[in-house]
Amino acid sequence: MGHGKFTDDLRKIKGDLKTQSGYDVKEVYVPDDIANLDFEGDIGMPGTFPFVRGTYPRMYREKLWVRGATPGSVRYAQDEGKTEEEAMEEMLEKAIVTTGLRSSGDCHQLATVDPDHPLVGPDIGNCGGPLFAAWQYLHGKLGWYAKLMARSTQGFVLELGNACGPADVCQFTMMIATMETLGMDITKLRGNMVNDPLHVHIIRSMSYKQPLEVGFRVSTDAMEWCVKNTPLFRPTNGGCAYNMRESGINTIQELAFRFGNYIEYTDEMVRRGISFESWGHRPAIALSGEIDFFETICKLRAARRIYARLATERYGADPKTLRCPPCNTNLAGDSMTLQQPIFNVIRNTIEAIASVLGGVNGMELKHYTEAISPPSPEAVTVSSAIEAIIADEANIPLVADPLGGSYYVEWLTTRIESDVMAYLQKILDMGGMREVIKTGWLQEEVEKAAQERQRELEERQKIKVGLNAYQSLLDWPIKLPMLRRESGNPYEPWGPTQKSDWEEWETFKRNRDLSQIKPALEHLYQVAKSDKNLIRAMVEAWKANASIGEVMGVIRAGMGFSYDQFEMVPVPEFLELSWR
Amino acid sequence: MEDKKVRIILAKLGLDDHSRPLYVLSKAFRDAGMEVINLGPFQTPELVVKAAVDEDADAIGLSFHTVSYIGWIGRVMKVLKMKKREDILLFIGGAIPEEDEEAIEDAGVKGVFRPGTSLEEITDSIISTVKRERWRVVEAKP
Repeated sequence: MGHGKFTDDLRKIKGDLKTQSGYDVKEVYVPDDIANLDFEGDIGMPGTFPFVRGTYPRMYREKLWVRGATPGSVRYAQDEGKTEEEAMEEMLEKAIVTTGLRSSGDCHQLATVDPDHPLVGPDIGNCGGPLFAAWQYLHGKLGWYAKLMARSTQGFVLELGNACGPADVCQFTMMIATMETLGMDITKLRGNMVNDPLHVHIIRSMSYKQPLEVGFRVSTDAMEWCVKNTPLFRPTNGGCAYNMRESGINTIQELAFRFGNYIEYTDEMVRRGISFESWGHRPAIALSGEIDFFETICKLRAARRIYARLATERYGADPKTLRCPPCNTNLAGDSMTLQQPIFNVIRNTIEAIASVLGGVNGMELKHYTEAISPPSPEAVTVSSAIEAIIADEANIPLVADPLGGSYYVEWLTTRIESDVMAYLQKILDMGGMREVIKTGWLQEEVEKAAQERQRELEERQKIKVGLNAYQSLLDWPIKLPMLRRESGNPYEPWGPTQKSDWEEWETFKRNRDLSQIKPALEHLYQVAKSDKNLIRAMVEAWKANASIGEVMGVIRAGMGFSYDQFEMVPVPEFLELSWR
Repeated sequence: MEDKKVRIILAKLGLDDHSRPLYVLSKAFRDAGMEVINLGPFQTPELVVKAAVDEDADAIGLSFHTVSYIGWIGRVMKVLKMKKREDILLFIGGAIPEEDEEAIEDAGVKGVFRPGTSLEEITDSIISTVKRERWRVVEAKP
């Protein structure tokens, strides 16, 4: 295939040459395209207002981005006869550049119901590790995670990536209960949680029927509590832009929804008497690292300038003392394909370079297994190597914002910013994010976007190599080590790990002392009925060995909702009698 | 007979809440002239089979984002058998490894749609399978 044919074919298929979000771009950009930009006010220096060039003055010379790993392979290695702790140690050692660990819960944790809920069935342990009680950290299989809590007080970053607000808050409060029980210093706990209870209602996935009011209350209580008690722990990323983007929206919507949610949380913190100066910079700006190279770079640059403008114009912050939050990407899962998984390594690399050129302070790479399963240990190794090569072989991080001043990059950054501000204003004029979720306007916008993405792929307006174009590249399938199936009969509904998860749940249930749980849950119920902060009462309930379904059930009931949001499980008998 | 429309129940089982395919498929199926009852996520095998029987559906379409399809399919089949309604055809789609396809079809599933299958292929396959296996329509060779 000659070079000429390559571009001709592409043009024929795609018609107009547009960016991923539909920007018509010119063949070349010139000084006139950015004539309206003022260096001091609109661009400036890294680490200073308006932060378009980066969070810190010396950027990567000051601190390289946080390199994370997902513990998916922990559960895999366990099936080979290793304990979860041995497997975790091995994984952290293999992924030598790891400076943080992101954990995600399984479906029942995300839904905040117990493993014996009728909807869990064969889903126990799927999508992540099952977490139902702080007891697992103290006495169960998750003892290794308690060791990581100790490490996090010395700088290791623990990220809670459950995303659904209450699921994150449950894990966070279980960690606090564990650390207090083991005598660790919670003021030194380092990490962050996604904790965005609004986005799950926007994307119509992961809402698990959690009432919006319950999610918002639990999550904002945690945000307030963290500001006062765990100063090194970032209690939300202000809007899970990544998950929203994965549902099919474009760059403009991704940023508008993220900052729309950020405004909801920030207004609430201000209402509770927390100053913007102590709050505004705490939520990290976490975006999707998309495959459109320049759009991703410019989106990251635009996001920091949008933050700076909102901080000064909406919340009256002083540009001279304003602090910029860290800016992270989670590389785009929906850019990855099942066809020829090795191509995903290339996509990962492009998205990671774009993220670094956009000035991220943290990055979560995807793995070549992404389209079909959690990562195999081999896939984790490859993704770690991508980061190491970008940093230490290619020398990309030597200079801060190396693309700053490019006519095209500055034009696109500014264009994205102004389009986001207009779209965001439209949402604010309709009453803000919570309001447009309630009216269903937002869900319709997402619905339209999802249909549009599918149409673009089917009509080949968006190219995915090996999926809807360049099929000849599938002729020689390249075999890569994928996540191996758990040993045992693959058509058994449960593998050995799931069986041991279930056994752990039964052991926990059998050995609890109900006379301790009852008063703790009754107290939590009273707090939920009042307008007091829930967090301390949640921590005490975990210490008394309550389960996740009970803790969230009692909060839901206290706030006037059904104990089980799916209305399939009644209030446990030992509780029912006591609070009436 | 010509006017008869293929009627399908769409759902997701358990707690897997990746519902985007249900909305995309509903629209594609309706555009192709099918009748769609989209139950959405958070269903149990019992609820899905009950809906299929009550609505006199030809087929059930289930979408999976996790590996738990292995456990759920068996349960749906069991309920269909219990109700003596194995005439209702089961189709599944989602992140399913190629090596599982044969075993899933052996279990009685009439079609497995893996990532990369176009909406047109899915729609055509379901309509023709229902006509052939459920309505016993013999299509004339062109």
